[in-house]
Amino acid sequence: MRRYGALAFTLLCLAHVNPIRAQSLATWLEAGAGESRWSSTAATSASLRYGMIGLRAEIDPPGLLAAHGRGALGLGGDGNGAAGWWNGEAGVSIDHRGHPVRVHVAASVWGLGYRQGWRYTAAGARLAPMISWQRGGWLIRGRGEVNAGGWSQQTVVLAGPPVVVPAPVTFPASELRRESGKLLLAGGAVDLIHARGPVWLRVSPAGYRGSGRAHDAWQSAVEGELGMASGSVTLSSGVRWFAIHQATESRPPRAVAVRLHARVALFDDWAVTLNADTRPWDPLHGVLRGTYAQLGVEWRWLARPLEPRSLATLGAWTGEGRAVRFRLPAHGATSVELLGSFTAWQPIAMRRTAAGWEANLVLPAGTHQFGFLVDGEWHVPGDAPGSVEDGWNRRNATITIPERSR
Amino acid sequence: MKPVPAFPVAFLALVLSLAPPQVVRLAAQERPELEAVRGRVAPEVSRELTVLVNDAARRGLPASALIDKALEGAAKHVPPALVIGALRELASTLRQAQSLLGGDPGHLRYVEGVAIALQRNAPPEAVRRLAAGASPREDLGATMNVLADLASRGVAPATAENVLLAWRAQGADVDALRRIPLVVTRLIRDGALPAQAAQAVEGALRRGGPPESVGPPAGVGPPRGRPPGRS
Repeated sequence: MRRYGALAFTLLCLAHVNPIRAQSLATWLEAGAGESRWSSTAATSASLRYGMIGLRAEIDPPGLLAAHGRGALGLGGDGNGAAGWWNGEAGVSIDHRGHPVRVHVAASVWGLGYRQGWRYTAAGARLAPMISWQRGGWLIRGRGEVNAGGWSQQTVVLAGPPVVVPAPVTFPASELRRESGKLLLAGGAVDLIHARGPVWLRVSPAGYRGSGRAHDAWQSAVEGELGMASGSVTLSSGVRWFAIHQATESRPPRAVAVRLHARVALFDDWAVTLNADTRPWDPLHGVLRGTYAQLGVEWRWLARPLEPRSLATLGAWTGEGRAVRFRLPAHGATSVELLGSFTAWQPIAMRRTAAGWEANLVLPAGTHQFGFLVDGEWHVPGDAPGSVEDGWNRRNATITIPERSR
Repeated sequence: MKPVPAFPVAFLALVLSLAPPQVVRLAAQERPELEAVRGRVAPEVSRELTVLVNDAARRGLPASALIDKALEGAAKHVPPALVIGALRELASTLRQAQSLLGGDPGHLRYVEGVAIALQRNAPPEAVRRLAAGASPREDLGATMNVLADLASRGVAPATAENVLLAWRAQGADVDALRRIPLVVTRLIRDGALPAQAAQAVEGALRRGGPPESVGPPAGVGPPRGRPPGRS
């Protein structure tokens, strides 16, 4: 860590608010304190001690579409006076969770600001497509990212050289300088990830090109290409992870970024985390090379399981079996029928409701296959539970009613 | 018990094998299960179904799965030749399920559920080992379908088996079993590899917690705030 060694201790308080409709909304609250140091040249460096509070929310209803938002505010200072920072992001994503191919596209808007004598703000929009393919212990992932926006900065500049004799230093008159510019970062990466037992290896050739403002204590502008080659080794056992990640900038002066991440579970929902980073310059966030370390405590509370799209929801036991509510959100259909092994494959008309088409049945214990006739056509959603090929190039859904506990 | 004379049995078998199909069908349709298909399936499907149901009955296998398949084919307007092919394949899978479940007669009532799990690519060797270690009270149809769920999400057989062994060691709660694939799916969606997600759930179960008591995978989750110098 040499000259830029840093230590931060963050206590994270996570409040998981019980979702409205079973799981669709989750929020986290985090608070922390720490110190960060960064630099642009060997001769200059800056630091910030801060306290922070953050809020994060994810809305993940059944279906392809999800939304997320987060915001954080930090207040602190160093020997030069008070300082503050904020950042936030909000966006939506489409996630087709197919197997073995998954496609994810996220779009968001973001903004950030720093104030420490000078002021720096930036805002933009991000589009990040990703496609992954997995087979056996291999995961191949291609991801891209385009960020476009702008930055502005207000700097107090001196009208002349400082007078150093006699001490203390006295400064000449100063003036306020305003600058602004465009911010662009675009690039992509291919991740080759292989799992072998508890060890995960990742190789990620990546290339980015960016221009923008990366500030240090003297507000230097940075433009240019950022090529990266990176790799990581992760050791995992249950909920314990130990990961070391290394990345090297492809052009001189080559900066080597190393990230160490460890997460050790202590109890069911408590864990201790350790993060230590050296980072390359980042025009997107307006920061230069820096180093930080963080020790944290994490608490996670999941009130109830996260259900995927639920075609069949189990209810209470009755004398004849277990109540099951079938629901298909086929809002544009004029008729929907349910049929399966439990109906001797005879169609049963479903009832139209605000949430889609519904039918309530009582099924005996066992494994049952079923599907729907939507306007007379066989239909089983791609992410249906227990999807199984029917032998005739179509698919059935499966529901298992476990035997009643004795 | 008085031994059955070998000659009359062999004679009856010879007569039936030489008899025209109509005679065999009449004899077989006395089985009450076949009443459900009368008039709903094509004659050639009915003939094949009769043969397969009789064979299943001799082996102690459930006929209901075969009858369901024939009815499914009729409901989907599948050509008879393709229905017959699917019936033969299902009969083979039922025999495989019976073999994997071993000789425990208490397990035979789960043959149909296990057959569906095998059709969903549940790994046979894992099915065999899990069945061998099951208690008489465990619903093996449900267990094996969760095994198939994990396999369909890319979890390797040995890893999936370990998850289910951890679930058993915790007390084999049927509701927890149903939630295991949901949690694994969630972790994979959050960025974990399938094996990583499954191992996280296994760890949660081995510590005595519910399947959901896992943390986010590496690189996911807080902290998200970025002070200067920290990207």
